[in-house]
Amino acid sequence: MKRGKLKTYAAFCAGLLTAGMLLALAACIPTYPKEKLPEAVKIVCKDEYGMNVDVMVVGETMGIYYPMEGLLDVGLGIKKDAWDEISNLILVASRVVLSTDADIKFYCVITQDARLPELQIVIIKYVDDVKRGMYRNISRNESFKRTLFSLNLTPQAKKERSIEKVFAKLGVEEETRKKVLDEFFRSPPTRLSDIGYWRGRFYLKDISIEEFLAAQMSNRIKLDFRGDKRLEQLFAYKTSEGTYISRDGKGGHFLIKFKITDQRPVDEITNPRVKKIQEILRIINEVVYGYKFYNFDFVAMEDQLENTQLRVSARDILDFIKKGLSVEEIVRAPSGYFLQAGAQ
Amino acid sequence: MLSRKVKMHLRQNKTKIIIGLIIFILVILSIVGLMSLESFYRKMTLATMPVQFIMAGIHAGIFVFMYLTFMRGGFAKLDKAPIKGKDVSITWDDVIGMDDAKLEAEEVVQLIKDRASVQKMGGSVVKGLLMLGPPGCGKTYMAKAIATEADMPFISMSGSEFVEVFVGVGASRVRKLFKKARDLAYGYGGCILFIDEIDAIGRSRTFSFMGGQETNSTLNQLLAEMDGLKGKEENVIVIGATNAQEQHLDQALLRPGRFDRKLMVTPPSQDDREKLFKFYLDKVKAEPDLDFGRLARRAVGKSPADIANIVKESALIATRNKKTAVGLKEISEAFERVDLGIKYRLTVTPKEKEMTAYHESGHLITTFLKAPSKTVFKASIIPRRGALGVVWTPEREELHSKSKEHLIAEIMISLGGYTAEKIKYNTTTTGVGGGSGSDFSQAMRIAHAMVWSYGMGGSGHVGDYTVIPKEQLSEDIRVGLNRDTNDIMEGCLEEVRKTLKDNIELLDRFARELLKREELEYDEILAIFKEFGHEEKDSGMDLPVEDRQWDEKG
Repeated sequence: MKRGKLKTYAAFCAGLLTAGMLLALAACIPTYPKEKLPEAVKIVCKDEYGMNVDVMVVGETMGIYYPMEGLLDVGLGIKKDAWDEISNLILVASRVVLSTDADIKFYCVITQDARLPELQIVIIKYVDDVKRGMYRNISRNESFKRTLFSLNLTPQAKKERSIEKVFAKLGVEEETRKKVLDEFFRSPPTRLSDIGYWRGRFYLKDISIEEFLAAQMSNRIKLDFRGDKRLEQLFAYKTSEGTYISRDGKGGHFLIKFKITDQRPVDEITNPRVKKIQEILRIINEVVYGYKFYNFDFVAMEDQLENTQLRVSARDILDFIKKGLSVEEIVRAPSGYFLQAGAQ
Repeated sequence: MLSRKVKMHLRQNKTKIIIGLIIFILVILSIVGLMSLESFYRKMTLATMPVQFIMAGIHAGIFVFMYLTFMRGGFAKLDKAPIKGKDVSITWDDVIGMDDAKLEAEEVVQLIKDRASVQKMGGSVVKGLLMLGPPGCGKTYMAKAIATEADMPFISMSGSEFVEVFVGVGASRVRKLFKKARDLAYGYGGCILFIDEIDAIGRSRTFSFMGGQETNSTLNQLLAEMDGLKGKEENVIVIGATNAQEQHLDQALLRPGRFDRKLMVTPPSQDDREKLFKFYLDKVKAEPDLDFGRLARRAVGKSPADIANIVKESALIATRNKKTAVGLKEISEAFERVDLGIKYRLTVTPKEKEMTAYHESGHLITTFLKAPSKTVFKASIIPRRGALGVVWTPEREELHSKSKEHLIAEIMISLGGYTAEKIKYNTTTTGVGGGSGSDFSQAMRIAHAMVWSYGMGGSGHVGDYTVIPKEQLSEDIRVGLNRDTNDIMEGCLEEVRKTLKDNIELLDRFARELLKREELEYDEILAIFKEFGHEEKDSGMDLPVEDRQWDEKG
């Protein structure tokens, strides 16, 4: 190669390398440094959407509270405008947690109707799911299923209202009431379902992946048994609840409580109860595989209508689909549980 | 001068600079754009960048392919790097011989250098120099020397590099070449553009509907560019070189204002050849007592390239013979190899061999007795270059014009082989014809030229009848000319027949000797002739006798 051309190529490569380094350097600087994370969320919400929010970070969980006028309509449904604002909040939360150097694994968006703060909407998202959604690594439907959404009574409100009734009966003074509440009844929540916001105070906990997955299993059971037409015809979903019971930090197990009644026979051969458990196991299998979470001992399923607890080992949960194992094979159930067929 | 050079570089690299600036701006904009993104999106964009680069590369590749295939842009590309005059490093001293041409070239260089003073005096500057001459005579070498002496950038191209199947590509290349030359002239005060084998684009234009448009358009562009220099300040000198004769080039190209000077680069003279032998033998390890004058006399009609080849070949032979230096024997062998070709073993029947021996003996005797200007150096019946035998008869000295007698002698030499076969066997072989270099074609060509072009026919038709289209010639003239041609052929044939019949014993002797030894050298040939009472005729040229002997004793 001629010297002139060599020089040109060398200059071009050097330029390219410099540009690449500059770009890489630019990418390394986080937009929202962890020291200013709550402020950043507040500023973005205020500047871009005119929303005044309250933000709190507990461990690896970030909470955003936004009270809005007219969240719910008369039928306790969420208004369309309110949905838009919730979507904006989720978007801001996603943007911030993705572009920060703070180690945030979960965020939860809490909104209340300013007129009725006793009711709240809580949305919990796992940051890794947000990333995968952005990369189109998971479908929109899957992304939706992985989001925990709940409309419930504000747990702290419920608690404080009960206490206040007691205080009123006892005629406790205002100052003492406040002191007692602060000391005994305003501690951080220990369960996922206790997350909320009440009277200017966050009730937020550092969410663990285990309890998030347990809650997601319950959420998916609800979605599938209510959303899937086939299952909806066969079964009547009433409630479900998922928790993770830890064994002193050395593993633990999932406990899924459910109330699902059998409405009609599946077919002449299939036992509806087997089918129901089979569907629940499928959902649990999807969740543990979806998150590659294998650190659990077993799954306990509590059929609250039958007052029966069933158990499946972690290995059987993982092999259930892969090896095509039958429900009767893997589920430890009281004798006769699967023999009773037909509608209840 | 510095600012002019900077401007020149800017002009030359305009496209590169613009592209570089665009890339720079794009990089800056990219960085600014990326910085305005949130870090996650920044990372996401960067993460996808390698794929985007690959995609961009694929798209660019497809585009370039499509462009080159369908739009031909790439074919017109001219990738000719100029060479600075001093980097050519061939000076006048390196140009051996060609003294007249060198003198003229020196004058041209002076004019190129003193362009300003010539213009001040109102003189017209030299724009073009055309070098004409046979191949291998050092035209390119001379052009390089001109570049060195003028100390100017030198761009060398071959005429064939302009030729393309697509109309307009050649013209485009000419434009680009001249643009580059003008830029260099602007920066360095002058530029020499050397177009070798200019006949590839400079031959007379044809104005027909059938083809030739590409050559025409290329030549038109060349003419326009050379004329275009008139209005420009730039000192661009075009040097063209060709082996073709002047009349084959387009007249527009030859007129003053384009190629103002014409330089005839002729084959080297005796002195030049001597210098050339000295120059090339100095480069190899040669015996010190070599007589360069004698070698030069041997190399009549040889170009500098031929001489270089002979020396190179002799060095190879010396290496093969395990000799430490090149001697006369090796040079002799090299001469033979260059002139006659390499021997090869071909299985021939005894009858074929015998007839070949008589055929070559016929040539040999005719040459010796009828062509005193030639020397019979060697006769051989070892197959070379597709012929079963050969008689090596170089001219004793270079001839620039040939007499009628000389041409007649050449015809007779060509007919010698045929006649010998006919006398001895009353039949002939195909060895007399079958190609442009064959005996008959050579004889016929000479006889035809004598009558049709040189007015040497017997019926008094004088003039070059080849310039008149055949259909415009009367039947009588054509018949007359053909009859004259035939008369020459028959006359020559008769003379050769008589000569060989008179010397039938000599013919038999030579044939026998050839069959026995396969090759006869000059002194052996001379001895046999002497035996039969024939002495070598004096050609009237001053040639030392020892030069005809090739053995080392000389």
